[in-house]
Amino acid sequence: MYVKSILGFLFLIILNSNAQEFKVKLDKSKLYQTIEGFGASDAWRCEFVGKNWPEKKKEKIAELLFSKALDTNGNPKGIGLSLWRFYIGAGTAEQKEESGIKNEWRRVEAFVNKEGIYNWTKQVGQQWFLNKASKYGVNRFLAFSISAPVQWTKNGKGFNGDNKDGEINLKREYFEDYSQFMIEFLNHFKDEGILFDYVSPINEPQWDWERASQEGTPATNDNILKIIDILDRKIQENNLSTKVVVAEAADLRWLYSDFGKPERGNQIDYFFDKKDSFKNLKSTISGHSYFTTWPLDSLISIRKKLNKKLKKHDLEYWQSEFCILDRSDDIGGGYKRDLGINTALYVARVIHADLTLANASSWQWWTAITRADYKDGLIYIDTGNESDLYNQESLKYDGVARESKLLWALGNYSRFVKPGMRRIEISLNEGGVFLNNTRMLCFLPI
Amino acid sequence: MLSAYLNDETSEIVIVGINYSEESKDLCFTDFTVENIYVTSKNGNLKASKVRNKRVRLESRSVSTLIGH
Repeated sequence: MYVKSILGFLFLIILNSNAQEFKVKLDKSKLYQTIEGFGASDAWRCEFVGKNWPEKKKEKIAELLFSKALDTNGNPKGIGLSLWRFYIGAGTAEQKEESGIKNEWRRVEAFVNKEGIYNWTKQVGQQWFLNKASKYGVNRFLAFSISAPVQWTKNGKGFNGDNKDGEINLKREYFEDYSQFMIEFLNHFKDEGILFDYVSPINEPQWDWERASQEGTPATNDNILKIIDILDRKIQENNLSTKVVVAEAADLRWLYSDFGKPERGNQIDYFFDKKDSFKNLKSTISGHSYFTTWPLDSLISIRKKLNKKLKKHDLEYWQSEFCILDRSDDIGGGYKRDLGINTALYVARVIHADLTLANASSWQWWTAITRADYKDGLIYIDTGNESDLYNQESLKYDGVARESKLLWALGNYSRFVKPGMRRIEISLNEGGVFLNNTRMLCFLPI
Repeated sequence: MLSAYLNDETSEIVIVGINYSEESKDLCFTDFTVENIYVTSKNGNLKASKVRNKRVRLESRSVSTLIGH
């Protein structure tokens, strides 16, 4: 028995010391992008949770997202996000069933009604998280809109319906009002003590948003340019320091090529050949990493092409929205939530590729909280009742909030890689050869 | 997969390492001393450990943040 134990112990030592070893080299003189922050959005679920959930539970969720404190064992209490995205609603919540959007969790209130009267008590749950983010010291705030308020859209809805011309779902005579709506929003929160550093007026304009599943509108580059032009002027007139960020492309390929939609593609060339015309347009293009993360050769080649185009315009890049929509051999598709390490590792690899191949200076996850059986959240809420886990009605008021490994893996970046830090060269030696970032990605084990 | 970030003011360096594989991996630095490690894996969430070493082990299936100078 004693001999067996000794042999077992020796075996464990041998096994443990048998890890593959890599020599790692840092080069501080080789500098890349300056980091601007890691973030997530309050889209959809922060509203009911922030509005109705018990104080202690929502405080815990806020701590997980924003805290930079350590517990008594030195472990982080939260992931210390440095950027928070506030979703400006279009008023589908007030329309109720008439909105056409069946899922109440995907309808959103608007701060302005059809008489043009502003009510700043709307979106109160999202405002709860916004205030918490501010109190925890989140560095930067971004406001984004994905549809104009419904009273100004062509079909009176927050989604686009059957119209296939790719034009924005906004009546021609309301471009000015839509832009003023965003300015009113920025001014209100500035007065409340929360300065929005960025406003993003259009989201994923390449999709037609025909389904009544959420708010959304297509937009041509010309449509977007017209809104930028008005916003730029109004920001100046209102003496705001907010910068406009475009273009939240639905797929990175629309940033550097027409990708089958010439009126809505080639967005880097389109917007940044004209950048000197605008005082308040941030010299950054934003895009979403959806549908470009599998297979791995696409993950690499698409980001290399993007980087080449960015260099041509001396432009910064933000990855401004991602969750699991792609199907991959590693984790399957988006359906079925995964609180474990597999999805966390998959997303960490996407972050790594966006930061090191596309030189993203900011990386933003889609939605901080989810109640869906889907891989789209950092924190997952459910009823705790296995037979009725995702009950939409009861979850509006209370439930169980669950941390995911994905939350914490994002924290490996957001908690420690702070705004202002510069990415530097790092390479590792495998078989006498130092591998750069691309080779490290191809070489999967590490 | 490794990426590194420099704080110009403090000279602190942050390295994020992703070990996608089922085996642990050892990293050996010549010009960097690791002072703190935070590991997310099936066993922990940004679990902290203090070290003072030029060698570190990346646990299998983990994301690690190494902080040092």
